[in-house]
Amino acid sequence: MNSIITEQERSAAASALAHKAELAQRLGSHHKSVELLDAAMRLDPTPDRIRAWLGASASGSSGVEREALLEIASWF
Amino acid sequence: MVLAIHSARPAAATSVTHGDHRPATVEAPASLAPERPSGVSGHELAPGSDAPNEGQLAAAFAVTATVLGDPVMMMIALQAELRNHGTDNQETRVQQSSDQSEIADAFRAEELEKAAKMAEKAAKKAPPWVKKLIGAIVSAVGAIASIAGGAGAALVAVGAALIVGAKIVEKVMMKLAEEGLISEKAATIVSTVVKIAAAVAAAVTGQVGQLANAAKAAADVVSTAVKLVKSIADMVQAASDVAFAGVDMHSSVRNFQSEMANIMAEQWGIEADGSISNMESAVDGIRDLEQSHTRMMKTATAALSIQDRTRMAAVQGMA
Repeated sequence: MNSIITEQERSAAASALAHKAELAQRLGSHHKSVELLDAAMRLDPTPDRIRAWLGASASGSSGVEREALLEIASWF
Repeated sequence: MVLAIHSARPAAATSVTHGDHRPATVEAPASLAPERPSGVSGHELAPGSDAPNEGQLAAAFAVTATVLGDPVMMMIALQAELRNHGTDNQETRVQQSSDQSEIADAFRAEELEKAAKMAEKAAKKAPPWVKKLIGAIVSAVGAIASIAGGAGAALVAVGAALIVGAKIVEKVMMKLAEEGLISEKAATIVSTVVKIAAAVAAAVTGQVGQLANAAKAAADVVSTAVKLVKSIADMVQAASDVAFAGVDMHSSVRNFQSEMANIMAEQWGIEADGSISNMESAVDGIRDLEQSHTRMMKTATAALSIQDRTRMAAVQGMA
């Protein structure tokens, strides 16, 4: 089944998800925040959104995984 | 649907080879692919590229390996072949199967055409790092492209294979990390890059559903390229040679390269050998059945002939 979502709709949906992610982060739900940013990145994978998702993922990680995520984030 | 992923037929490949869809222009890789040494023909890379680090090399090669074919799709394609051989050979069934195959070929060709257009569009709209990634992959799969029907088909396969092949990449990366051939960091980088690249490939086209269909079609093309199962290891090696050409490789990268080829070849080999073995058994079974049927028919014919002669003798005797 073909997707009929437009670029504008994707971008708007991604913005809404990013906003919710910010709220989740403020409420202390880091895991939920990362999930929402992941979804936002998949909807609208702009460099900013990818970087935001990687940054949030890195903040919840440690060791080499954190290093790896930060290195990828530096590519954007 | 089995026929939709039936191993590719010449019709599908021809439609790609002679189609009007030329490969999209992508930027030569600057960071993910190494500079090609002189004397290497084919896809050219940008001169003056910086040597990539281990993580970037791993990322480029992992995605390259993905493009070479998804083992699950290979398995399904082989099973489809097996099923074709295993079905009875009644004329009506053969005709029906042929009609369905033609429909499947047409569907596949149509999806590939759509995918080629989307790939061109995606290549124009994609951010620079994605263009670099695609450029690295297209360079690395030059050998495959020549078999599969041109760089256009390879480009289509790239976007689609990123979607269908994420699991195998993650699996291979984790195994390499467990064996200490690459760092855990490199494994994480590869898995993450593939995930992001797949998201971009799906989103920049704005045609998520169509790309999913194209993934099936493109995987089919890739399966065609590696149809000769025994040559898979060679093709992996050839692609990695191109990907790593001109790089002063650290020994760990060399180990990674050879181990990657071994793991992929081993996995494909096990699955493919099983399928081929089953297929050969099925063919043998059909052959035995046909021979048995022929013997049975001869016996029946002989019995009928004897019966006829007996009747004739009886009639003549009565007369």
